[in-house]
Amino acid sequence: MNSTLAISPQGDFDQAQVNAEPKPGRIPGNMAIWVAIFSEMSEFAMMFIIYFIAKVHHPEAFAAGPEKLNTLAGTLNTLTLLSSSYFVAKAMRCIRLDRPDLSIRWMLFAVGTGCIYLIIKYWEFTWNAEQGYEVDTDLFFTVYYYMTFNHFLHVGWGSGALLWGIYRLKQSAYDSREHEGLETIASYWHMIDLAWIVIFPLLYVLH
Amino acid sequence: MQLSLRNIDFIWLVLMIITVLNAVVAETADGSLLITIIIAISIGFKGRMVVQRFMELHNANRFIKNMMNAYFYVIPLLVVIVQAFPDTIANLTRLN
Repeated sequence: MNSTLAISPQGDFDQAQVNAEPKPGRIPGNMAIWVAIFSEMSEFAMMFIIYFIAKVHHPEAFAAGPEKLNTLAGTLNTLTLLSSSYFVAKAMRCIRLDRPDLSIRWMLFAVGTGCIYLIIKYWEFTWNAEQGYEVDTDLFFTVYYYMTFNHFLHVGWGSGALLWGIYRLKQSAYDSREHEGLETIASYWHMIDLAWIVIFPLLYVLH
Repeated sequence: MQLSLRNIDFIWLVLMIITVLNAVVAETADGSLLITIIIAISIGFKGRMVVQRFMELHNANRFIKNMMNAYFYVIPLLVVIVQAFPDTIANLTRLN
């Protein structure tokens, strides 16, 4: 059976999952994006080490800090970013099955959730300011703004990259054989999600 | 929906549930070592699920896959070490 016939209009991939699997042993996207991803992951690792060192030297500030933050905003941001990453994974599977129409739809969902993240984060920064929490409130908030604003910028330009992927999809630049550009964008977007997977528990959950 | 950690729909659902549970912990639990270990395990699990299934590295280039997976063993381990031995880490990182 033709693999494209295995997908329902709703994008149900249970039957087509095997056809959508990427080639074994490949480098996803291209080598250049992996240099960038490892650089970015190293940068975030440095932030986490700074967090660890600051925490052991100022335990009171880091024990009280998470209770001052808006847990709902942090949780909603985590849910939206994980969903966004899932939508991008769906878009990759669709293009491997030569369904650019569905791929565009999933990419639009991904950009939408990326924008929701940015709105929630902006609202959270505003809420913090109203409570009187600024960059120089204490060392916890200095580290909090250092990490979260840096990540905020990544989501911003990552969303721009997703929009570029949608533009290229609409130009029919990608199909089941050639989709290196889309996979490059997808890999970078997942990296942004991975950084937040660590940031959320460090700042909002662990006391 | 196929209830398997190879199915990205199911993985997405599991990640959502873990995130909500993390939020409950944030609102209710104390900063004990046990809670820290549970949170560290959840960081490692979530990270490796995204790496392997959303990022599709489960069958990709071995170096890239191993490096990305290692990140989500090392960071959770550091989280536990910092919680378990804060004074030792503080002494090791003191400037004077």
